[in-house]
Amino acid sequence: MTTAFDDSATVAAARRDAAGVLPARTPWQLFSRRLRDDKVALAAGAFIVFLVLVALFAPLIVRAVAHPPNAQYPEALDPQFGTPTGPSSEFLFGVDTVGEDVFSRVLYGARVSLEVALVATAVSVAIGVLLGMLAGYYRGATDTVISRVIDVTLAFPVLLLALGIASSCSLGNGCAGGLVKPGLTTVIVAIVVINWTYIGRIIRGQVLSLREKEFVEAARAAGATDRTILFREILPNLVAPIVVYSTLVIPQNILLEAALSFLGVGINPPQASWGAMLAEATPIFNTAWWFFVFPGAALLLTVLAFNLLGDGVRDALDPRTAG
Amino acid sequence: MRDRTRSSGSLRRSWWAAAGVCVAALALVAAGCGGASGGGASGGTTTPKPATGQSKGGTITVLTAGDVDYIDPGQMYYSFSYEIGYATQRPLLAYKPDSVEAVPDLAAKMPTVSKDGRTVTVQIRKGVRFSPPVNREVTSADVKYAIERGFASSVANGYVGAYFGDIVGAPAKTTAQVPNIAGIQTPSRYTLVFKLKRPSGVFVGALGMPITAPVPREYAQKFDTKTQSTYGMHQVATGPYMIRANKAGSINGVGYTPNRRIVLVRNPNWNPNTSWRPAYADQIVFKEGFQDPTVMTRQILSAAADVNGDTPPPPAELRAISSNPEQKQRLFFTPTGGSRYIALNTAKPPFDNRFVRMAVAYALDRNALRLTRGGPIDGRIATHFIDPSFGDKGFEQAGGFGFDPFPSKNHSGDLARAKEMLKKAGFANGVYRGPRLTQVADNTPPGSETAKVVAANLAKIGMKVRTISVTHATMYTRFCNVPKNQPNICPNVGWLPDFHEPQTILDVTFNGKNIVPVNNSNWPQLNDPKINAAMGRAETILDPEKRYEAWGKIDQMVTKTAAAIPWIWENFPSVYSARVTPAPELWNGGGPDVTFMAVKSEQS
Repeated sequence: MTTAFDDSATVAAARRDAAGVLPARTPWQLFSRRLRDDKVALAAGAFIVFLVLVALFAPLIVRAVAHPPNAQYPEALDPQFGTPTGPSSEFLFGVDTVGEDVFSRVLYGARVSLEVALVATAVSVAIGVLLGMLAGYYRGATDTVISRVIDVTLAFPVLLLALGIASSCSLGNGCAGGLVKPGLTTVIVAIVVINWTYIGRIIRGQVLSLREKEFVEAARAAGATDRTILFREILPNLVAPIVVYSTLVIPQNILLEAALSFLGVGINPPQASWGAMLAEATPIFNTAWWFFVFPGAALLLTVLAFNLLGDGVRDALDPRTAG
Repeated sequence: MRDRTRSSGSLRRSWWAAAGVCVAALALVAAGCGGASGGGASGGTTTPKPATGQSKGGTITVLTAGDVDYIDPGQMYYSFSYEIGYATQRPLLAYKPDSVEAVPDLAAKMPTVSKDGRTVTVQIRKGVRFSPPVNREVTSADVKYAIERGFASSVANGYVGAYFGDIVGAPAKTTAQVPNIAGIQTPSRYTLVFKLKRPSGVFVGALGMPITAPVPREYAQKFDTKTQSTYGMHQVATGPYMIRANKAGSINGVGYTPNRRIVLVRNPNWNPNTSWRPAYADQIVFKEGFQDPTVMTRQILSAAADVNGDTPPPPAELRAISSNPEQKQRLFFTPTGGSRYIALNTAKPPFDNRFVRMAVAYALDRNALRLTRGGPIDGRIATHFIDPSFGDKGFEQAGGFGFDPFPSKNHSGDLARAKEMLKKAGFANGVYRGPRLTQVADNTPPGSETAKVVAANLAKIGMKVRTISVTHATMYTRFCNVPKNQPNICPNVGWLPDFHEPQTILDVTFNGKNIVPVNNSNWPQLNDPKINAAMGRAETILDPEKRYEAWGKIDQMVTKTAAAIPWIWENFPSVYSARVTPAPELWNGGGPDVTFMAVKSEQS
């Protein structure tokens, strides 16, 4: 019987079969076991699952217990000064400065945060992995060009670069001939432009090492094309760093979206965004604490959960890095 | 003047009204406010009489979010700029802080107008001198030059055509050089005679605009011949204060650092015997760049600064101040004399259709709009454009509080009527099904919130509105002031009267002849021939009663077009620190008159 203390020798001793042979375990089994034993990562994962469900079922939840996120209820404001009012039985998290339901907007804000984080991460990882593989595998001029682009991009202060891109595309019909429209698309593009460089550099380094391995030599000797070698031999060996990096960069992207919305170049109103809500709440946090606390707590818990899950995944994939 | 907002969307500053409401009338308005559509304010709602007999000395600090539009008195057209302009310059006429009636300043007495209204004669005071480095006495030729330079392209004053275009010889467009206008005559050193092409009921009122402050030709000409005049950075003063300058007369980086600071010091050549301004303080410092009105308000309450210059305290702070008996005494709500409105672009679909505009007028929840500004304390719900402070000078003639062509219960909007209008416009079921609309709005509260409310209200009748959020200055200079870039809706505009005449509220803003390619203030681009003709006739009426009657009717005509939908006759809240005596300018929308403010004796 296994115990919480997942000591390989103990487990192995407990699990030797009748013939005394230690059963083999796949990497996935090892990974799953280590992850299951990390209670903090499990809790974080559970929260993320909860968040995803909330985001998916936000319309149903709001219909049941709250008000539409973009509907305004001026009658809920202070009639004399027009200031927002706090939590009540009708407005669970209070209302904001124009009488919108903060509870609904926090729920819908989860959609924006998750969408931006997941889509932006997926696209930036895809681009970074592809370009990183090409740079590391082909080396030479290809590596030089890609590496220099990475270096130049990384030389820009992250927030300033994101602000510049977001600001440029936030007006009129956007930029790139209207392909990048103001709002969600602009935010995703800004994050992708910055983020692909990090994973690209990591993957490049990994590929530089992997291309010298015997299995690559063997594949080359067997007549495999470069494309086959890259996607069938090298890429599967990059899954671990890709997964680890992705889970660790998601919370950064959530924060970057929040920062851009906070600075007014992210999600356009009336669409709910935690960052934009924090920006509106900051000047009045001492008189309308609910408007600041609830979206702030949601952002904090989401980022924390992804960070903890990312740590857990990294530790589970490579116990040598566990603290 | 435009309500260029006192940051965060205050009204365009172009017209500062010579709010003429007397204190008693203000008290009546304040007492009458308080209902759902009332503008009752907590805190002081009457304009205080400025303190007299105060000790001289000390420094006063004014906090602002933005900068002046122009530092040149011949160009400025913004209520905040006037706080500096009227402290340092002496137009022919000016205003005491608690009055909207112009009184002679540089003029020795009120101008005289001939019976046919085509000749206006002004005597100027003797003994008024320019500040260093000019130093000499002011003559009538200096006023002539000041007005003439407004027509030059290097200066391009924003209102000179509207108010001085009827002078004989005044050019119809800006000129490359400063013109010599034959109709401005200087028969003697201290006499000005204006010859007009046609009678004008408001010409005398216009003599209170800062363009009439004298400018010495021999000193200013070299600056005015440049493509953009740089006289502003080298200006000389005639008022009790001057912008601190170096010995050569330059204020750049000395007394004026754009967007940072403006420092006024005493004008050594000012003769108090020629002026009714007390000028108590030795120095006034305008600190700019306070984007956070909460921080600004708290600095004033803690006496780290003395008054807000262009930005009102936010609603949360107003609420806190109103509940503090000591602080409440230092809070004043001054009627701005103007209104805020939503401008609909009539030059392109769908708002070229009157019924679609009327649908918007019915759909808008004016109460919700007012709550974005602080609720009833911010003012009364506006149902037309001439402000209640005008009383029987146009407001009553426009129907007073009883005129509301788009009524709804509690001013909260009438969706049923809105849908009826859309049906008349050809939309089945009374729901708009045209292309998405665009509005350009402030990116900071309360303007951003006003825009949100507008979008939410229009969504109820099927109009999807995309909001482009930009800074207030960009909203005007790049979008709403430029007809070819103008979106369907400009939700954060407003207008203050240039002086206490109803014409100044309606003419520049709704007369088709005043639509210009840049710096346009006719935001809806209203160009109705009947209204234009009515305005043309009203401009020449000399008899005040008939003039007010005419403009009152024009107000009704304009309101009914729904080209712009007024929603508040606004009060401007100003809060003063405990160390100074208050002096909000009734004629300038509540801005502080620094020439009447004093540092209290125990604080000096």
